[in-house]
Order: sequence, then C-alpha cells, then structure tokens
Amino acid sequence: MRKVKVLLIVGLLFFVTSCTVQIPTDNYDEHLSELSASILDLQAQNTALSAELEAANVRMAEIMSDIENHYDKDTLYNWFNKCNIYAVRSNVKIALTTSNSPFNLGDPVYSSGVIIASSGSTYYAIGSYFATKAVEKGMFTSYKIYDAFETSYSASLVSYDQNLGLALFRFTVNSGNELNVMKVRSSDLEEYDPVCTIFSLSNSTYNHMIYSTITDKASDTGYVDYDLYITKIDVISSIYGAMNVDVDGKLAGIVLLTKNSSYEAYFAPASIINQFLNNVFN
Amino acid sequence: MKKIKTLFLVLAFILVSLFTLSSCVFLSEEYKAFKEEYLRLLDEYNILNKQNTTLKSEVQIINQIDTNYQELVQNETETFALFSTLENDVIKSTLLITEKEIDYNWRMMISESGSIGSGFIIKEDDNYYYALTNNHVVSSEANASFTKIYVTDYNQKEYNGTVLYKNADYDMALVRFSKNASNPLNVITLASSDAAINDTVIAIGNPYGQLNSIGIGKVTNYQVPNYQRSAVSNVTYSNVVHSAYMMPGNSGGMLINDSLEVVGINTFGSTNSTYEKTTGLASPVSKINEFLLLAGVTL
Repeated sequence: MRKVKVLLIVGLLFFVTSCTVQIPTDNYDEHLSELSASILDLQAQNTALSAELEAANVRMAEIMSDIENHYDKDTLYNWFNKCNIYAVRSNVKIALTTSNSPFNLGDPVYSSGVIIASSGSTYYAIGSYFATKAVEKGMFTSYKIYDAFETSYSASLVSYDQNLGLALFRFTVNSGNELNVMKVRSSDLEEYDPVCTIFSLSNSTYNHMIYSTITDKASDTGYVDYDLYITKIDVISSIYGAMNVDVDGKLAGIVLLTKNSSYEAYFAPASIINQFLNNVFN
Repeated sequence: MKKIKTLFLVLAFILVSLFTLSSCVFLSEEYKAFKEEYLRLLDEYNILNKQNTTLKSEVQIINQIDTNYQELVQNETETFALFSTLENDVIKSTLLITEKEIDYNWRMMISESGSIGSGFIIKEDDNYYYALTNNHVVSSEANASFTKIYVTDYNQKEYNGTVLYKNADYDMALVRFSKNASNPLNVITLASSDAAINDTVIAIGNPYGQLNSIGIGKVTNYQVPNYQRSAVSNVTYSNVVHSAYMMPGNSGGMLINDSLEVVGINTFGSTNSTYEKTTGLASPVSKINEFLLLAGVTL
C-alpha cells in the first residue's frame, strides 16, 4: 500500500511538472518565418506607400502653390454681385467726335472708361489715351460720356499721359442716376488672378461683362514702356478703356490694347493708374 | 525480490522524471530564444504596421485634399462658364417693359407718365414672342386716357407690346410682341418644380432702367407678402423669399436657378442703402403655371 502511494506521488509529480513546464509543441521556425514574411510584406507595402506619399507630397506642394489662385463658388458669386451691383455703375462710354473744322464734326468713336472720383455732381473718369489721340493731331474734338444707364453728359478732357496710355475726363451729372466711384487697388494683380472686364460697345447700349483670369504679362507691346497684363476674353470688338475689377470689387486695371485674333486684352495695372492719378491730382 | 522490483520501479520513475525535467529545461531554453526572437520580430512588425497605417492615412489625406482641389477647380470653371452664359445668352430672354400713360386735360394738352419693369420671354411662334411680367408693371391704377406698352430687349431695341391676359391675384401679365428676324431673342424654360430653401437663385432685370442687371443669391424662405394689396396686385399665396439683388425696375423679371430655368417671377424687392442686404419676393413657378393655364397658354 505504501509503495502504491509512493508510485502515485511520483506519477503526480511527473504530471504536474510536465503541465507546469508546458513544453511547446508547435514548430518554432514556422512561426518565425510566418512573422518574417509578414514583416517583409509590410516593408514592401511601406516602401510602396513611402513612394506614393512622396509623389503625393509633390502634388500637395503643387496644390498649395496653386490653391490661392482659385476661389470657391460663394466667393465668385460675391464677386459677380459686386461687379453687377457696384462696379457696373462706374462704367462709362466715352464718345469722341473729331473734325478738322469745329462746324462739321464727324461720327463719334467710342471707348470705355471708369469713374474713379467725384466731387458733388462732378465726376472724373479714366479712359484710354486712345480716346485723346485726335487732340495731339490738333483736330477739333468733342467728348460725350454715357453712364451705365445710357444717360449722356458733355465731358471735357482733364489730362492725359501718352507714356502711361491713360486719360482723365470730367463730366457733371444732372440726371439723378446713382453712379459708383471705383476704388483703385493699392497693389498689382498676379498671374491667374480673376478679373471682371466691364465695358461698353459702340453698337450696344448695355454694360458688357466678361469674367476671366490673367494669363500673362507683355513687355514689348510697342504701346507703353511698362508691362501690360493679359487676359483671354471672348470679344471681337475693341474695348479700349474697359475696367478690370478684382475679386474684392476694386479697380485692378484699364484695357489699353486688344488682339482680336487671339482674343486677348492688355491692361494697364493698378500701380500705373495710381501713378497717373498722383501725377494729375498732385 | 518484490522490494527490489518496487525499488527499481521507483528508480525508473525517478529517472524518467529527471529525463523529462532535463528535456523540459532544454526545451525551455530553446523556447526562450524563440520567444525573444518572436517578440523582436513582433515589435518590428508592430512598428512597421503603425508606419503603414500612418502612411496610408497621410496618403489618404493628401488624396482627399487633391480631390477637393480638383472639385474647386472644376467648380470654378463651371462658375466662370455660368457667368459667361448669364451675360451672353440668358440676358437675351430678358426684357424692359415700359408702360406709358397719356392723359389729355381740358385744354387737350398731353401729359405723359408711366412705369418701368422687367419681363422675360417664355414662348415664341412664327410671328411673336410671348413674355411674362408683373400686372402692376403694365396696369396703371390711374384713370389714364390712353396707355401704351413698350417692350425693350436686352440691346435696347424697342417693340410695341400687347397685353393678352392679366390677373391681379397672381400679379402677372402676358405680353406679346412681334419678332424681328434680324434680332433673334431667346426663350427661357420654366423649371418643373419650385425652388427649395437654400437653392441658388439668380434675379435678372433692369433696376432703375439699367439693362440686364444680374444678381445671385439664395432662397431664404417662403412667405405670403405683407404689403398694401390693390386692384392690380393682390397676391395672397406664399412667395419665394430670396437674397438676389433687387431694386425698383426688377419687378416682372425672371428668377432662375443655377440650371438656368425659371423658378419664379420677381414681384417685390428691397435693399438697404449700401445694397448689401437684399430681400426679393417672387411668385413661384407653380403659380406661373397656374397663371398660364388661366391665360390659355401651352408651352
């Protein structure tokens, strides 16, 4: 009986030891190779992802440098409203009639302009120097300005600058029409900035608006010594003196040249307008 | 002998136990090494996995930014196209409606007065265009001796207009004018349903006679207009309330959605002195359809 007890105790000891030690029965190599394979797979994935991220970061840099050139719908709608509600009422059509004789004036030549100052019922509008060329030739001239409501007023030429390509006109409003005075930007726009070009055409009686972006600058126009800014606009007629309005609703330029073949308008930037106004008013 | 057997058995057990234990110790060492390697690899795996998740997330974020950017550019292109269509095509449906009242006094002297408003072309046939405007634009409450309706198109070409039907309960009137082959105009389509609150809407008209003015806003509400009703304007149903720019002269002008379909006819409007807060009211397109049914017009 005692021997049986001893045997049982030894057997129990053996059993307990075996259970406690828990000898692993799996294959170690298999485990390790599985894990190594997963690691290799992850390394490959990460290498591919790193390359993807690198490309994405390049794209991100492109986006970040370009995103400021783009505007969301609400901003553009707001800009559209500013052009339609305020800027349009600054638009004027300038009719220049010239002749060699003061008694026999010919047909008027039309260009556009923009109201930039007022004093009581007297308004000042900037236009293209194109509208004053006849003055230099010593011809008899007569100016008439039509406002955004097609009401006409007699106008006079205050000043012009051939080098800057701009001219300033004065007219007195007696119609009661509520006209708007445009504020000029303090700095020039840059490539891709949006501009709304507002102008009048000789053969139509409403204010035309074209929404576009600046595509480039032109240095050798043969017209003025400074760089003109270029916008692509779908218009076939001349739009000299047309205003360009930025997204804040401020005057960003005045069109001095058009190339109908390439649908391009060339405008004098805000800095030139400010220089011209400083020269005139100071 | 029996004792020896027992002893032998015990010894055998002890030996087996010792052998097993030593094996266990040996295996345990091997297991320990395996475990260490396993844990090292597992750490490496976890780090890589974390990197993987981060990389995927970063790529996903940039891809999302790229998608948003593409959407922004696409929306911008579409918005510029919308502006161009509004300024070049849609305005060809808009009209300036002028009512002139001519009175003769006791000395047979003529005095002229009148009102201006807007309108838009909804139908054409071989000889005529048919336009909608407000009844209060074409119907004077004064006892004028003679009234005349003039229709002016987007480019200030003037036509004589004839009022075919008008109804004060809708404040709408149907006006007909002759076609001019050399001056084609556009017919605008009516939307199939009323605009919803927050929908983008565009009001086109002639505020203070300024041709082809366009304002963009949103539908803010629907409400019955609170105003002094009269014999020419007695609207008692809910109107579209919107924030698109409206001034006197916009009455009778079109209110369109961003698909360029008519969702209303502007009837009332006000704005503050800086034009920053506009409230416009327009009869919804469902009411335009009711009016056209009463007028016997099929589009």
